[in-house]
Amino acid sequence: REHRDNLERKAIIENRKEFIELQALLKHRHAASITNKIMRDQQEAEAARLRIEASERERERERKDAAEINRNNAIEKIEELRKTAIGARAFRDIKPEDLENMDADAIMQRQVDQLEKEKKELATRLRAAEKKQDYFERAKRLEEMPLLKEAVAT
Amino acid sequence: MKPIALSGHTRSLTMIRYNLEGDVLFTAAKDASPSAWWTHNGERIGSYEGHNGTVWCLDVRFDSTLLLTGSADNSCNLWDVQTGEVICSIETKSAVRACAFSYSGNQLFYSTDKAMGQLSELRVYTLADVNKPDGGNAIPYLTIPSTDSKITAAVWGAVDESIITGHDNGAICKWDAKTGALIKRVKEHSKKISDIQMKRDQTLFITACQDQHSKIFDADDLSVIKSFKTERPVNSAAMCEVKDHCVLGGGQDAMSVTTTKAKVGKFDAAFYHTIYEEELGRVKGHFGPINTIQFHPNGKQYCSGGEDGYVRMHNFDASYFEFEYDVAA
Amino acid sequence: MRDLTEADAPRPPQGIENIIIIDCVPSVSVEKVDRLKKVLQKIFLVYGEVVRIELPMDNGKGTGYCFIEFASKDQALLAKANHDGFPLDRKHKFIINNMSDFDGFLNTPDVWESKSDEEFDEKEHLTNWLMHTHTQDQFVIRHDMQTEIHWCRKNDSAVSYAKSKWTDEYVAWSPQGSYLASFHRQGVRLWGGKNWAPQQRFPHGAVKLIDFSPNEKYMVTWSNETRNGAVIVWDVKTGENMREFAFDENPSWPALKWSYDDKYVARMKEDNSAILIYETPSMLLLEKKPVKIPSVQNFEWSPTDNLLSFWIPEENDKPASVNLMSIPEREVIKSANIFMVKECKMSWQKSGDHVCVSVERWTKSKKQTFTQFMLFHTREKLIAVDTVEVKEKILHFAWEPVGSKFAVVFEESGRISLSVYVIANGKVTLLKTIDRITANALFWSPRGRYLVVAGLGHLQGVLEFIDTHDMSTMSTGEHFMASEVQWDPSGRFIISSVATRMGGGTQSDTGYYVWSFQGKLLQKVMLDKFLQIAWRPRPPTLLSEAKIREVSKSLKKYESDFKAEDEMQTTKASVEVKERRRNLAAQWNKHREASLAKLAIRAAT
Repeated sequence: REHRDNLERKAIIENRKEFIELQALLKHRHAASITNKIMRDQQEAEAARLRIEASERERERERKDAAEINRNNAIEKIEELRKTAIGARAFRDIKPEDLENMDADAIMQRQVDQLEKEKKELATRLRAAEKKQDYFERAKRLEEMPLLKEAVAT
Repeated sequence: MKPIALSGHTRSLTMIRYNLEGDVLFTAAKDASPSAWWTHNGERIGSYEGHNGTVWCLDVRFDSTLLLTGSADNSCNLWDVQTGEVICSIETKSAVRACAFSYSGNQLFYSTDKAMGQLSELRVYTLADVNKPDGGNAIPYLTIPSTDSKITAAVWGAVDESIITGHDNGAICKWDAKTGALIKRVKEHSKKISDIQMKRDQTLFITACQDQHSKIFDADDLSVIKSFKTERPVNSAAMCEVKDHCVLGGGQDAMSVTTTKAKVGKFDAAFYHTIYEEELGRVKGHFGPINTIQFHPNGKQYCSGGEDGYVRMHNFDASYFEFEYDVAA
Repeated sequence: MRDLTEADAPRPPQGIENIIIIDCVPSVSVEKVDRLKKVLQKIFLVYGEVVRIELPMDNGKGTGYCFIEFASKDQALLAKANHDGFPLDRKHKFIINNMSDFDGFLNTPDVWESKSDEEFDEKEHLTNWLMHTHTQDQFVIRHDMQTEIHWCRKNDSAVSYAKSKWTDEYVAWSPQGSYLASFHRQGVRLWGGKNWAPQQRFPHGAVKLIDFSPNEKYMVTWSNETRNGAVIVWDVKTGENMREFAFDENPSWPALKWSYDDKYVARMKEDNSAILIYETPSMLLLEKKPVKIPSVQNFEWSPTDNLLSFWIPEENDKPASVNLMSIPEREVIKSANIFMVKECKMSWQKSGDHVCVSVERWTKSKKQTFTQFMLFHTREKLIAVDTVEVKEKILHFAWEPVGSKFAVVFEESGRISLSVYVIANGKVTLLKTIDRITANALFWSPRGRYLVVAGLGHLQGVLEFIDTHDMSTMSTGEHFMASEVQWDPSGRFIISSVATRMGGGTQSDTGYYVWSFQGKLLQKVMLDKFLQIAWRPRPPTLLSEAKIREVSKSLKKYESDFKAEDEMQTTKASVEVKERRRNLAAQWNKHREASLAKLAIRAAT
């Protein structure tokens, strides 16, 4: 009986043990799955981050390229404009660091400003010359009149 | 002033007219599709399909319900403005050169070309006779044969009592709209009158003539009030209803322009001060002569139709309205 | 108004115009009448049928005048034009009038009416236009039948005088602007003075071309109608026919070339064997003999000295040469040899300091030509000669009128360019070449420095205004189809014009543009049947060089006056314009009110 009791207890203990082991196993599995998931998530996040970073780098590179092209264009444009007489005057004293900050519009604006300025200067100069010529001719005529009268009288 | 170029016509423009309110512009061209356009944005509303020849002239009734068109396909059509349907088509023996609704909108006339033993004639109808499906068989209540050279432009006179016609030889005639009797004939121009436009109050009209002149006449006694001399044939001239300005459009026709330079043909619209007869300015744009020109009824816009197939719609700048002449007090 | 009344005046009965009256015919006795008639018949037969000759007699003696009737009016006019002043013999010099003119004579009032000071102060009158304190210049225009003298102002022009049918052909100014010549069937008339009174008449039928001596003392006319190829030299003051020359062919104009001081007039002998120089006023050959220069091709006078330049072509291994000869000494003071010459053109600088000979030379292959300029510096002791090679085709060469530059428009493989050279310290230097221009002509300002290069005619009237001081383009402009460019005598304005071509189809847009010397468009005048425009020349200034320098330095002194004057002018103009506008507006409003009232009545009934 005692033996039977022992056997029973043993069985119960065995059962319990098994149960506990099963519980533990389940628990462990559960924990493992959670860790797994976390790790997976982390990995995915990391991958995404890398992807974003890569694309950002790509964009940055493109931006830089574009800036470089722009700058080159600007320099080219300026060089081209410099070949014309007016451009040469417009960009005569431009500093390289200024150049960095110039886009096509700014360059054109500078050119246009120079044109306007020179046009204005020319107009002023011409007006002065015109006036001078006119006054000179008129003054000579006025001075000549008495001589003409004299010539007629004799 | 940035114009809106209305491209829809495939050939030279012949006539443009605003409706009374000025929200719609009607255009006729050498293609057979007269069109209607919104004047605030230049969008095409639709076209009127039914002619198969050059449409020389058009007119819209004051209430914008009916459109009258005259064509070189020997017909004069009456249209429902909204649906674009032909209400009736009057067959003629030669091309229709001018047509118009009366001020009251109760009468209409059209004039025909001289062709193959056919005298140039002006036929007057009551609208009631025509405005029905079998209106094409309507009998004109008055027919005025032009013993002068052919009628090239025509408008209604004051209070619909008379009709004023311009002729190929430069003559201008005034006829009694009831009896057809010739009231007065003057010859102040030496070449073809291309266009006559009446001021809305019907006291004055402006002519455009191939003799390079444009003149403003008293609509009552046909006396010349103002005269504008240009250096090109004038195809169309209009008076502004708001300001004392008028605009002249024209140019050497393609046949007589030796080079293709636009400058040579003088294809710009020339603005004059109506009273002082002084030139105000010019607007360039067309690649060919301007064939037809008109001010918007509110004076804030004008439109020109050219030989180049374009209609150009110009809204005036603020500076245009600010400018005033100095006048001694 | 005057023309109207003239036209309206009763016309003489038909036929009277065919009759001329000759005074100063010999008064012969009855027996000799027939013989005299025959003589007269013979003289006047050249003009056509002489219908009748009447020699009125008084007591058996001739009255000293006669009537001759022709078949037509034209014949009578021609006879008068060509034989008025005809010396029949020593004592008898015909005075011819047309019968129809006699109406005019008969209408002369019996009492002498003093015609103000016109008769007395002729001289003052001729310079009258120089006395205006507004110091403007004049030009003449012709359009349709109308001839008008305008004052040129900055933004408009004011008609100073106008006359219809003033001339049958064109009009021409004398070189100092004193006279305006008009052309008629019967000859040339000169007009001048304040009211454009007739000053002189030269009966030479159907004159085509005229030319004045530089000081306006003499005038030369050419007509190919009356007597074959006749060139006549006239004394401007007296109207006297000084000498006639018959030319077999149409002479190249001017047929006679004047020395700068009117002292000599010269022409080529037809067979190119000599230059014939005539002395004024006798009009006889200088020292009674021609200046013999075998095969001389062409000659030109210096504009300031009695110095001739001429050139002789290559002949029998003898090189061609360009020479300078002083007159009356007939001494060749410089001779320069050149080879392979096709053609030489000589142009004197206005101050006579240099003469440029543009030499067209053959290349070695003799297939092509190139151009070389030879510049003679006449003021230098040995008269040094510079050469400038210009390989290209020369379209236009011109000296700066004042100063020492010259400009050339040339073409090289279809590209047209302008080069300006300057002579300084006896050396010729190229100032600048402006490439790729649209031009076929150039025009220097009469005051120098400024020039206009123009693409006339088929180049459609493109104008470029250049300051040769720094060789900058001041502006460019266009006068479509312009065929002519003229500077005013003061160098302040330029006129470009399109004239109606006579009998040459329809020319549209005829008229003229006035530009400032800097190329600002000041006026645009379009006129139908526009025929001619010409600035009135001015005599050389009376001011001394020193005085001119003084004026130039003290411009400030005048400035305020001129400014005020200009302002007044603009205000006056604007007041006039405003007044005109006010009147027009008033008229317009009145008319509008009246017609609107009329309309209201009509609408009510």
